[in-house]
Amino acid sequence: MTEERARILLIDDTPANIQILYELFHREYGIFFATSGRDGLAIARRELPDLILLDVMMPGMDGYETCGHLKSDPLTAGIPVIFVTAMGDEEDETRGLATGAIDYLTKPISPPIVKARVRNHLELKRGRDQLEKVGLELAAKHGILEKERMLAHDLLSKILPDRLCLRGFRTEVHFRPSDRIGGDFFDGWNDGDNAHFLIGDISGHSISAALLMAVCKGLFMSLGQGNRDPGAIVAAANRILCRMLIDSGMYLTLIYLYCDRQRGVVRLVSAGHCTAYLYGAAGRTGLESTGPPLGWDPDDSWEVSEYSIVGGDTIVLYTDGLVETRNGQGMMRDDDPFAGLDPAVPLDEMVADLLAAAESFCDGRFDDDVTLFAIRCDDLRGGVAMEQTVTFSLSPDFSSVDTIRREVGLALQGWFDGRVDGGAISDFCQAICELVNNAVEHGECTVLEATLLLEPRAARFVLETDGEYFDTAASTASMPEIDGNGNLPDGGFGLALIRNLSDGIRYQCVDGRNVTEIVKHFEEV
Amino acid sequence: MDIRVEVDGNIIIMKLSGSLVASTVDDIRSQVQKLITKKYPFIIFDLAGVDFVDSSGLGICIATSRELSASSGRLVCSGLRDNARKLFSITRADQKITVVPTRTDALAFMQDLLCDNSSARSPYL
Repeated sequence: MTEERARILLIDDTPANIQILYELFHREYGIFFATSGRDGLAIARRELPDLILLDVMMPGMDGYETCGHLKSDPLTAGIPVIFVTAMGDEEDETRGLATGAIDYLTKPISPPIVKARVRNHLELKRGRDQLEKVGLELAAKHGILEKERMLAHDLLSKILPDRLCLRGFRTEVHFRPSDRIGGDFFDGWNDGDNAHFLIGDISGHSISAALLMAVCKGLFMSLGQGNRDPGAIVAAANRILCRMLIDSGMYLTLIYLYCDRQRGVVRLVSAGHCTAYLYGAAGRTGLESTGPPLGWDPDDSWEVSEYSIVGGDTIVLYTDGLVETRNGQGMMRDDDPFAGLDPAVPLDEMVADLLAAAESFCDGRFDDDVTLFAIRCDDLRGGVAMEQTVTFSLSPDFSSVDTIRREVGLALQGWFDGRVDGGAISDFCQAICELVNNAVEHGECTVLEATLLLEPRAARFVLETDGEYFDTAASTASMPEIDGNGNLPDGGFGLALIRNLSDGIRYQCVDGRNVTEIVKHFEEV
Repeated sequence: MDIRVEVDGNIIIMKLSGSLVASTVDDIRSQVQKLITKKYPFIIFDLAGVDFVDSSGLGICIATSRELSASSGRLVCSGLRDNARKLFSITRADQKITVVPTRTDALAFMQDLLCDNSSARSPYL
């Protein structure tokens, strides 16, 4: 590609001077000229030349003023200006350079010197332009990459469940991704009254690690269907992952466990993962690694270790981001964060305490993803778990209606796991939406707190708000009529719908807070 | 909530998708107002893509139906999914608003309404 000819603008009130400079340059460069500062400015704006040779002494707008205008206009400010003048004393030169000119030539001009200086300045200008262009391109590319990274980060946080609702187990999860993407994942699902659990940590933080995480999430769940042997599941996953990972340098550590409540055992594979803990009546047991990480060798196999559990026992899984932290002095944490754990405290407190200790050590600066996953086996009572509580903190606007519908729907489906009529679940969700709707629309509340209590054959939804006294329970069950003109009934259908779609409603005012509870009974199908 | 407006002759089809709830009804209200101003009082709400309707969503259907009738027009709702159908039924809104199974049924109904002397009449008229 041939470079474009550079273009020079000559501004001088004496045509003879323009003639001299034209003769000097027109073979090499494109030339524009003007005989006044005003015309020169107009041409400069229109043509954006690469260089301007500017006479100082001109009638009307002189060279200094012209240069000032050129430099104050963002469009022309980047064009180098060289003053050409008969005046030769140092003061003039200083004044010229102060207005933003890049160089100063005195008449009579020496053709070789003028040519050399013009060439130098044009080359400098070209270099600057290229640097600027490359800088802009780099910034654009960086912007695209950064956007991709944000998208991946966002997607990842949606792949992992906010909470798990499993029959027979209480679970408490804390997942905190670092600002880089990739890394940790966890999952859990019921197999009858038993359950599969897993936690994993992928080496590295990159979009490819994130991709691998998404693959793993689906892979283990599909391999785990109908298979209760963690050794076989992990070996099968490893064969598939090795095809993707060999030579990539990536690998993953994980713990996969199957909790068999009927037989009272946990079967577990730890593929190079950090030691997890089981807290039972006999104290603490470390769940040590039983084989290498995944992704190294397709022929690797894993031993399965087996531990007894009874109702109330707790398993604490985590990724090393929780313990491999540094304090303000750069010292690694060297105590055992799990030593003093009291397995009798409620699960959410246990998780909160562990996190608080880790946070206070590193002052909240975790280098890696932090995942903490605690599982407590419920007491067995006729093979059915007793209950689980899910709490929601909502914003006092209509967006909370969508949030609650989605979250409650997921929690109910997880809890009843296909054993009850899906229509009954959606009825209860609708009743809950109407309740939250009413509170947002009429309750003038600033605080909305909701709790979902899951029982073997029923669910209760408790909504606590501040603001207006609002006795939903006073409503009647009969559906209001749409009148002959098609007008909506006063107050709409909300209250009647709650009554119709749930099996009971209670209202009370406690310490200035409105507490409304609706309950629904579910028949097994 | 995604609202797509299509025109078929004098008939407007508003294809709604997402949740028809308190946070989304204002968009529909303003669209309907615009259409009434532009003298398009025959409107179909195609709800096939709506996964959830609450009492506010039902309210906008009833209000729209009333306003269109007042402008000598008509609202027809089609494509109701289970939740919406149940809501329309227990509130008896389906006795006040014309509800038909599919968008094709809705168009046929409207066309019959617009040319009374048609020989093939919609079964819902």
